Amino acid sequence: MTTPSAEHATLVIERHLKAPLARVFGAWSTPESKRQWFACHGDWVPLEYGLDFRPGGVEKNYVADTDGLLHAYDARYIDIVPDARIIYAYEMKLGQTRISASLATVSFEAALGGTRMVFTEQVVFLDGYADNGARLQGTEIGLGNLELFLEREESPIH
Amino acid sequence: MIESQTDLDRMFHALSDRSRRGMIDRLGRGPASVTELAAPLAVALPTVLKHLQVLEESGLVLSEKAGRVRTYRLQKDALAAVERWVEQRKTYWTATFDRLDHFLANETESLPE
Repeated sequence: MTTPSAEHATLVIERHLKAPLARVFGAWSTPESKRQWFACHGDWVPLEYGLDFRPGGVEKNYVADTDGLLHAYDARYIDIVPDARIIYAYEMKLGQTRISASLATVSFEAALGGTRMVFTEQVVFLDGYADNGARLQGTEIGLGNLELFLEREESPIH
Repeated sequence: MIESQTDLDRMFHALSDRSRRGMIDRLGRGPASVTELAAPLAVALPTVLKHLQVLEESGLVLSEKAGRVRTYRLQKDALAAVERWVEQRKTYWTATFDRLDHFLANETESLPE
């Protein structure tokens, strides 16, 4: 059995987007827009999406992966400054298991030719995280790349 | 994380077989018994056990016996787990923001400004 654990980490992702600030913010704040880029997920099956974009409002995104496992994202918005900042708390569950709890801050500013967006997530990974029956993309991509590398290595020998 | 060239050789040997890579992929989703690991493979049980022995010797996988059931899990989960989780989460957001980028580009085409 997995022993209870809580591992803290902070990750920061900075992106330069070619759209003006108001449209980038609109993509985060308008439910129909956000659903299109946030909830639609390759060959995963979207089950439920909802966004109530205001402080105290909630967002949910439930999808089933290719094995039919439920990935449930539930968020609550804390602080919103239009065209400048969004702060929200969210949890991730795999099936019935809560795997992480996070505080996310997204900041936006106009930049030459578009918008600079900085996403900062302070996350607590819970009770073994990926060990709990998770199939997370990172693992798959990592192994997929390794497999490609190994197949390339093999081919000149044989 | 990797102690020596010999360890590296063992690890690469373990990963050089498609069936063993399949088992690692399966264990990436969580611990599994021999029966569960054998199920998707069209090979005899002794062959499965031999593969698992190679994986265990490489240090990629470890096993525990509880009663009659031996359960295998990825050893790498124990090592540098937090770094891997952060990488997975970063990969997830990077893919999501790629879709945001794509969404904004398409929106521009459909809504002339």
